[in-house]
Parts: sequence; C-alpha cells; structure tokens
Amino acid sequence: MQRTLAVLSRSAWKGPFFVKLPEFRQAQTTGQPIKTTARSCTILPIFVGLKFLVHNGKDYIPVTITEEMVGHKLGEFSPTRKKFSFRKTKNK
Amino acid sequence: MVLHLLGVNLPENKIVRVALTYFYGIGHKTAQQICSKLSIHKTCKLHELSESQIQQISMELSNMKIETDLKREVINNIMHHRSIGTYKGKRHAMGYPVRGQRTKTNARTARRLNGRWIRKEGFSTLANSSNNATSSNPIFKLLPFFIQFKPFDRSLPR
Repeated sequence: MQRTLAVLSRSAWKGPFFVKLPEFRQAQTTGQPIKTTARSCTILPIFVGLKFLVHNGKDYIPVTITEEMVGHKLGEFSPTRKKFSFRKTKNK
Repeated sequence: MVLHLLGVNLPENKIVRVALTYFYGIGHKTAQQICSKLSIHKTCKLHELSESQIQQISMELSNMKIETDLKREVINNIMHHRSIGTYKGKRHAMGYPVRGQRTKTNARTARRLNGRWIRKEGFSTLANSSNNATSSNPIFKLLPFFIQFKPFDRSLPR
C-alpha cells in the first residue's frame, strides 16, 4: 500500500472504495477469474492471488493480483488505449 | 571559495539560505527553516559562518533525506509502478506524461525526464554507486525484463 495514496486521497473513516463481487467466494475456492467492469475497485489484501478479468472498454484483460498491487485500483492494470501502429493498406 | 559539505560544493560568497538550495531536495522553504532553526540571520553569507555553525548545518542535513537517498526513493517509487505493470509505470517507461496531460504537442518535460534511466541500458552507474540498496531490492534484479517488456503488447504474460 502506498502511503501517499492512503493519506492524501480519501478520508480514513470511509475506508477504501470497493465493489461487491458476487463471484468472490467461488473464485477463492475454484481459482476461476472474476470478470468485472469495476475498474475503480481498490485492490484489497484479500484479493492477493486471485485472478481478475478487468474490462477496458472493449475486452477483458487478465490480471493476477500480487501483494505489491494492494492499494491500487483494478483499472490501473488494464490499459484502455491501444498504441498507435502505422498500417500500410487501408483495408487490412 | 568553495565549501564541501556532504559531497556537495557550495559557493562561499552566497547567502546561506540560497546556498543550501544547491542540495537536491532542499528548496527555499526548507533552507529558510534550517536557517531560522539555527538562528542564522538573513544576510549571512556562507564564509561568515563559524566552524560550529557549519557543523550544526551538516548535523541538520544528515538527518534529512536529501541527495542520493532522495533520488533513490524517487526511482524506487517509479520502479514500483513499473514492476507491477500499472498505467503510470508504462507512461514512465514510454517517456510520456503520466497524469493525463496532452501529448499532441508540448509534453516536453516528460520527454526530457520520464523513463530516462529505465531506457538507459543496464542502469549501471546508479546500481554500482548504491550496491547495498540495490542488492536487497528485488525490483532491480528484474530490470533487464523491464527493458524488454513492451507496453500494450498483449501476447506477453502480464
């Protein structure tokens, strides 16, 4: 957890922002990835080791949570922009 | 004409408050605070300081996080983002602005500063000078991987 994130952004009494994940219990037992669009959900310590499929507006990007990711948001790990690459012909 | 203090050359004919800002990590405000704490008057120049006052200053500075320690902390913070693969870390590695600024024009500061040492091969100069910190930090061992890692290439494992 980054200290600055905790200190500067949000009141302590609110606690971290997170979304209820209905598949959470199932994912813990079976290890199935959790498909979610909640990009703003904070990664909690209990998420460590779980797999997520985080929506980026188009696809679901696989993210495996490690200990260092705690305190970040899920959306930080699924980029929403594609890097520009020049294509020669117009119709592929 | 030059005073060596904690590995930094300070010009002796400058006002103390100004000369202290030559340290990386000390700005005008911190310099002012140090001066008032040690009761050095406003127009006092560095060569007018007594031996004991200089010692007091160096005592004060040795307790602070400046120069290499601070630089290392900054790098570690960026490497944290880089190693876990956040958007921020990717922007740093690509040398683009990190906080959503435009890139069509401008973005000159980011191009100048961001990801300079990530792209630099081996990262060797800093790694050698701070051996103790680097060997204990697992991030630095992964560095060759970061250089090869291409952001937004989804075929690579994440």
